[in-house]
Amino acid sequence: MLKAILYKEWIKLRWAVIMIAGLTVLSLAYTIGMISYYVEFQGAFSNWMFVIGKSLLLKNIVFVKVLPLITGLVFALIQFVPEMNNKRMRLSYHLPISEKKLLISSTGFGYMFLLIEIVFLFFGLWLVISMTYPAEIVHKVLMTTIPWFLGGSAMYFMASFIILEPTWVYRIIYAVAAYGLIELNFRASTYDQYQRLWVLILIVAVMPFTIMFAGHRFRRGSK
Amino acid sequence: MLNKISRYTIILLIVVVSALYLPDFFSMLFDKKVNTPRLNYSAVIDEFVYTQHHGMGQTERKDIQGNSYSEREYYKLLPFTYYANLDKWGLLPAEIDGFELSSKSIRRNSQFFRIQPKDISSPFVPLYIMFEAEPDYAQLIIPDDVFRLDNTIEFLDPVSNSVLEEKSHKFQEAMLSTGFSFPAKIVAANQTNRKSFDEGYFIKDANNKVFQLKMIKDEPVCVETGIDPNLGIRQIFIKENMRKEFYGWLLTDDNEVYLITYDNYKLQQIPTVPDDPKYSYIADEMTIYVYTYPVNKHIQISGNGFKQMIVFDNDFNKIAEHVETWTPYKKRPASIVKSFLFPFELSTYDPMKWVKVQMDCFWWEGLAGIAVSLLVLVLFSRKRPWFDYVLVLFTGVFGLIGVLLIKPED
Repeated sequence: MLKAILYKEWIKLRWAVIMIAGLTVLSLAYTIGMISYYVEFQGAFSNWMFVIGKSLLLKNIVFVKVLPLITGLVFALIQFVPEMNNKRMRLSYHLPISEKKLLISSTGFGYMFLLIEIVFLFFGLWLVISMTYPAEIVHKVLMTTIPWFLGGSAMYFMASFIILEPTWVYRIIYAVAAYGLIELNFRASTYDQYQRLWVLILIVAVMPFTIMFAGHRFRRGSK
Repeated sequence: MLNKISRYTIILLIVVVSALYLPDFFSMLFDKKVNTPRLNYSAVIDEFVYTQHHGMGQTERKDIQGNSYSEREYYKLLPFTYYANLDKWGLLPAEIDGFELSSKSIRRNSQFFRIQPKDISSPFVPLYIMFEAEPDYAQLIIPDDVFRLDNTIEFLDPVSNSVLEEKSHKFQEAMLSTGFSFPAKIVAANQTNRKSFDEGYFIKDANNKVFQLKMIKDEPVCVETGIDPNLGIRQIFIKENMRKEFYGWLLTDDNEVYLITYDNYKLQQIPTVPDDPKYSYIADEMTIYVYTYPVNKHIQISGNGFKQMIVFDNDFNKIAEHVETWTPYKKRPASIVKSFLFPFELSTYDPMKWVKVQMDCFWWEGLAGIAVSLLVLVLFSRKRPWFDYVLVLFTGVFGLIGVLLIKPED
């Protein structure tokens, strides 16, 4: 049963996964292009000065910042909007598998692709940045990206949760909360500015639990 | 069971979001801006003077005896601050305390610095640049390499992103030969070429000794300064100035501030404790301003709810001091109401420019808000799972919002 459910999620996601994979590669290519353009244009030394003193790299890696957010939203929309159309989810809930297992496996499957993207972006960026910059800058930039990845993960879980929720009133409440929780990860204006990252990690780590509640409410037919 | 956990997870997330935003919105809506006075000391009348803005462009200029002044009169009291305007108007006095006044002489003999919390330890990339201290040109020339200084000193070539072995080795040897022990704990310099000369780096080593490292004619020059290693140095600030009175200043763990003088690195303590020790300088939350003028020195400690000013002669003998106070944020009505309303507040603001999630509890005032929240829950919404009450007991109005919005499902 589980295999069939995962296959269904794959059918929904496959085009998006391919598109996002392409965008991920493109965004790293953009970063490489921007870095070499700036190095060429400013000269290696003054480029380093801009990178160190003016946080220039944040501009060059802007796609790494927004791509997990976009991915999270797109995956959630593609996976769950068709299910909520005409309450088709009802059919899934009638399958011989518990609703919890069903929801965990669907969101887990979607999140797996987002996680692969995040890991790819992280290590890709590591490689790209260390070609031009020393270890100090590489370390600072990689630390900078962690809250962005948490933000992307939060986007996926909260968007899935909001879509799976059957009533609009609750959806609006959740959307307000989601905005606050996602925004929390995008407050830095320079490299590696976050302290106590574990708080943010903890917040994102509990988010998958929320999805059960939406499923439960749907089954009960809450209006 | 899982459904219950799931519901409380949502409520907890709502608690987090409301604790982040609601107290902030509350302050934004209800707190009034306090116009704080700008204090200064007039060497002309030997009295503290201040300006205070009252909105609509109205500015009050007074001395602390209560005499009011017009704008020009006020400027005339403070020739060391407003010399440029006074000079233009032809109102600059000829001399004060034996010092002949002219725009040039005042500019040449004045120096100003401050220490803000964000200067002490904010996010930065630990890479530095070393200027040639005796260049062949009229101004300092920006080098073409950068260096790292932690467990070793390594110069890096930005073009190839590789270590310049020879130069690194030369500097490392020079440092080791003066008794420097790696790793470096503090690396301080004024990394700009907009200065007339370069004093290089002041570095605290593993044994808390302070060294000065410069580059003269491409050769490293490392000197042990002899600054007391037991001082507990927290941060060093370097700023070259043509006056050549001090290289810079340093801050200790005990909130003491010292000037590093050109007299063989001898330290000169800047007094930071006024007569009333409650207005003493605390580096984590206050800003200290030090103004050196030709005839005296002003120190201003700017904290939450007060400005303390101490005036010294050039040998640091105290001449006068004065404190101006106003109601600090924590004692203003909006803040007090806020602490009764909300049991705690989450914020990411940090004076050192980090983004750090932190919780500020309002303890006993907060209990009032919790009691009201519980009462509301008991009166208006009975028959709830017991854990709803527990949640409101700990999170007050935030929990109340959560449990009222997200109804229990059986």
